[in-house]
Amino acid sequence: MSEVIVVTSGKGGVGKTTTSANIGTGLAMLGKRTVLIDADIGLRNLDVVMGLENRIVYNIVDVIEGNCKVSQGLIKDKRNPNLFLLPAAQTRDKDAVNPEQMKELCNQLREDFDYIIIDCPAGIEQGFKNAIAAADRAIVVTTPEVSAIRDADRIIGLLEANEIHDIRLVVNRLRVDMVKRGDMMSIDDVIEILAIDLIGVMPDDESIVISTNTGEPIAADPTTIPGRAYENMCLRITGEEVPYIDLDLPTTFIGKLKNLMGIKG
Amino acid sequence: MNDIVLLKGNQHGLSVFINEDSSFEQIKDELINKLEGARNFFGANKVTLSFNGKSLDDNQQKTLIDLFSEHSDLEVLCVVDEESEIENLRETITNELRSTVVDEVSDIIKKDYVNVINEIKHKVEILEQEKMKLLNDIKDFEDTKKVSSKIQLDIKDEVKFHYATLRSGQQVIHNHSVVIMGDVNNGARVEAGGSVIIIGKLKGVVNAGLNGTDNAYIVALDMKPVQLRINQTLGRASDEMMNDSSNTEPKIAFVEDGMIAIETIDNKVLKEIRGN
Repeated sequence: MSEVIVVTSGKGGVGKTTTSANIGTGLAMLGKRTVLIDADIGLRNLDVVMGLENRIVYNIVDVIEGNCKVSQGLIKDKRNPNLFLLPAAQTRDKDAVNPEQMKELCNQLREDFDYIIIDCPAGIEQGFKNAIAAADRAIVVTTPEVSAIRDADRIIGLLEANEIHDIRLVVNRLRVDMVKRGDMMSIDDVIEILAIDLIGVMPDDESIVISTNTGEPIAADPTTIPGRAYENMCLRITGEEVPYIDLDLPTTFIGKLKNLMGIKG
Repeated sequence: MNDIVLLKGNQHGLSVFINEDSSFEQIKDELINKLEGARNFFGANKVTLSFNGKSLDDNQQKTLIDLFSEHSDLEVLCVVDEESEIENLRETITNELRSTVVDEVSDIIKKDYVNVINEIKHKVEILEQEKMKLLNDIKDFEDTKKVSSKIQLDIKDEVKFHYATLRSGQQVIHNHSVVIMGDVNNGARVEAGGSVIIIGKLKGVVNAGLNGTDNAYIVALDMKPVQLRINQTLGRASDEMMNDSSNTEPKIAFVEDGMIAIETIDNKVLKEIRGN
């Protein structure tokens, strides 16, 4: 039974594309046949984050307009044979595609894939409408900031209005030290406002910044904390209940030493 | 009538009744007898004669009249054809009467008829007026319905109950009071003609009393609105109130001295607002 999951946020720059790339990688590593669709036509990024930009021959608009077969448009991932990418067009814009066409495309893909992950563009206009058209469920990504949460709330309202009721929350770029100081909202604060179930918490980590630039999703390395966090998120997507990593644990050497010796701070 | 001839007086003179079965001779003889017998009685008077009964031709009549002259002292002035006279009279009277009666009756009927017609006309007039009045009433009613349907979304639901949290960008607009069974998130709006009661957190914008009532109030379990408005009065919660996360007692906002006042709900405040 294949699932179409849209990764959305409303606000731009909170981590939709990063999350999509890493969820795709993580699910493929769990053995699920997964396809990533970049719905941000005109401002495509998923191919860059995946490190597959120089393998693009055809894109989603080519497929929808019938210039090529779906199989010709799909790009196999460098590392994982279970993972495929359908890139966006860079020379067109969001009006090149309509919701009906998206639904049709996803229906076709359902036959061959367990999970179809749609990377939604920022905003609430045509791009958003296209991206959610075929979705069975949604993952809303937000950072613990007032403006991002405001937009996420709007997005959740729109998703519910479009009969998508399985909506889960990813809190991205959490900085525990700032939360402790009271300078950043906690996860509980965020959940209180948005009132949907959590599916993942990502710390604000330098390694993630590096990985998006190099085109090597961090989920490929579950030994790192972010890698493990993404792995857990993917397990939860498949329905497993996994406890959340305590992000409050020290990561520096001195910190770990202090922790071992029972010294706080 | 057994007598061959019978003489009767009338207002004009004498009526001679002649038996129809008698012969003329018998009649002559009888008349002579009668006349002679009553000569003194009759005396010398001027009379008119009328013959009844057997019909006589002119000669016969003349003969009999001559007998009057011979055998009485009466002077016959003229002969009145009584029967036909009477007949004529009767006819005339009848005709007269008839026409009079007809006239009168028809007058009466006409009068009545005219009256009836007038009455009916009058009644019709009254009915016409009532009809016009009713049509105007119907038009007025429809006009008010049209006007009121423009401003009233649900005439049967005076208070609108909204069973959901209002997320950012969502709004509830209603011409009477509103109850939200949920939160009103930042970026959401409630616009109500009457009061607004939020069974949850208020973090958005509420405009109450838009029907024009300063008496409208806004209640929330957690009052942290971006902006409040009751009728024409605009206001917001104090920075203190907004930043105080520990104070989450239900509060009520109302207009007092031209400003929005927000108070914790207790009996004192409720009494003030109720007015009793």
